Amino acid sequence: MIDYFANRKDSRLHTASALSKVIATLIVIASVVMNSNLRALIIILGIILLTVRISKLPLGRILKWGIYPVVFAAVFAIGIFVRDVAGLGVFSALHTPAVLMLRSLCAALSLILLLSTTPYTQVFALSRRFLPELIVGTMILTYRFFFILIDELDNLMRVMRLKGGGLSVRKIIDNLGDYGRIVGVLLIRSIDLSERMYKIFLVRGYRGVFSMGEETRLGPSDVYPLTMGFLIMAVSLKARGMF
Amino acid sequence: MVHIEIPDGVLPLWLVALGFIILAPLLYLATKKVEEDLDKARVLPLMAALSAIMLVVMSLELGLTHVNLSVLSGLILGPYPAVIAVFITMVMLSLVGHGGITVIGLNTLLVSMESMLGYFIYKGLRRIARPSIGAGVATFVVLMTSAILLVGIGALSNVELGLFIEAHDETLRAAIPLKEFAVTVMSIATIGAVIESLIVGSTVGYLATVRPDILAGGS
Repeated sequence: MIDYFANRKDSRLHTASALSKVIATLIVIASVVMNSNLRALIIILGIILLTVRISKLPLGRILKWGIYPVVFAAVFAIGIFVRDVAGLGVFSALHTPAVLMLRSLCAALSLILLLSTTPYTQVFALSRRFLPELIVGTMILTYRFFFILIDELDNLMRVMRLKGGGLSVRKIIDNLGDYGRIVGVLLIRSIDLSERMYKIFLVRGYRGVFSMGEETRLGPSDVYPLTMGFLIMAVSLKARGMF
Repeated sequence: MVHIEIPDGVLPLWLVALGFIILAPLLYLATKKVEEDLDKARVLPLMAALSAIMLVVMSLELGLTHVNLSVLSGLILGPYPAVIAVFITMVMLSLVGHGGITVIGLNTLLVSMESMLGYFIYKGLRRIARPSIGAGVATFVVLMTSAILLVGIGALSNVELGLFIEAHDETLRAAIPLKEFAVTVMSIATIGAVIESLIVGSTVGYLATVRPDILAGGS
C-alpha cells in the first residue's frame, strides 16, 4: 500500500525530489528528538498532519501506521506515569509520558510521509551518497525478497496447520522443532532465491552497480518539503529559547 | 536476538551518536572484506536473502519473545557479510517503527556481535559436537552475552531502565532501578535464548542433513 501511495504523482510533495524529502525528514526527526516542550510537539504534529493532507494521503490510514511505534512508547509512558503520579499529581505526571509519545508519533509519521510520497528505489538510490554500493544493492534486494519470503512463510504455516501442526502459543515447547524445520525450509528457499538471482546477475553482466535511474534534482516542488522541515525546526528552536 | 525496541527521542543523544561512531568503521571494514575476499555477485543476493529471513521470522508468534536468527545468519554468511545483513535488517526495522532510526547504530552493534561471536563459537564447537548441538549452544551463549551488554547500555544511559525491556508485559516495562532491571532483562533473555537456541539447533540439524553446504559460513 505504501508503494502504491509512493508511486502516485498527484501532489506537490510527490513530485518533489527524494533529496529534499529526506533532508526534511531528518530535520523533523532531529527537531523532535531534541524537543521536550509539549506545546511545540503538538504544533509539530499539526504541521506534519497538515502536510499529510496536502499530499492527498489518507489521514486515517497514515495515522494508523504511525501509531504502531507509539504503542511501544505508550507502554514505557504508562510505567513512568504510574511511578510519578503519586508524587507529582495527575497533570504533572502526564507531561513526560505525553512528550515521549508525541516524539515517537512525530518521528514515525515523518518517516511514513517520506515513504508514502517517495518510491523506495529513490530513497535507496539517495543512500548511495553515504553508503557503499554493496550495501545499497543488498538493501534493494532485501526489500524485494521480503515480500516473496513472507508469502512463503505464510504458505508453510498454512500447510503445517492443515497437517495438524499445532502452532499455538500453548504448544510452543512441543512445536519448537516444527518451527526449526519451517525456518530450515524457508532458509533453503531463500538461498535458492539468492542463487537464482546470482545467475540472473551473471547473465545480465552485473558489475557491482544497480541501475536505479537518474537521481531527481532539486526543483520548484522541493519548496514544500523543505518549508515543512524548516518550519518544524523553527518551532523546535523557538521552544528551546534559541531565538 | 536481543535488541533495543525504543522509539526515537528516548535515549540520550551522546549514546546514540556513540553507536553510529563505532558502527561506521565496522561497517567500512565489513564492506571492504566482502568486496576483497568474496564474489560480490554471489554474496550480495545471499546477504539480502538472510536480511529478509531475519525480518520475516520475526512474525513467528512465540508468546513473549521473537526470534531473529542473528546467529544463524552468522553461521551461513560468515562474520563480515553478517554485519552488513544485520545493518540492513536494523534499517528496515526502524523504517517500520520497530526501534527508532536513531538506535540503528546501537542495535546493529549489538546484533552484529551476536552474529560474529556465534560464528566463532559454532566453529569451535563443531569439532566436538553435532551441528545442532553446537548451533544451539552457540546461540544460547551469544544471546546471554548480548543481554549482559544490553544491561551495560542501560547502565550507561540516563533514561528509565524499564524502557529497554523487550517483554510484552506492561508491568515489566515500568521504570525500575538497575539491579531489578538487570534481573528482569536476564530472566526474559534466558527464556528468549532457550527458545531461539532450540529453534536454531533444530534448523541447523535439518540443514546439516539436507543441505550441509549451506552451513559453510561465508566460504
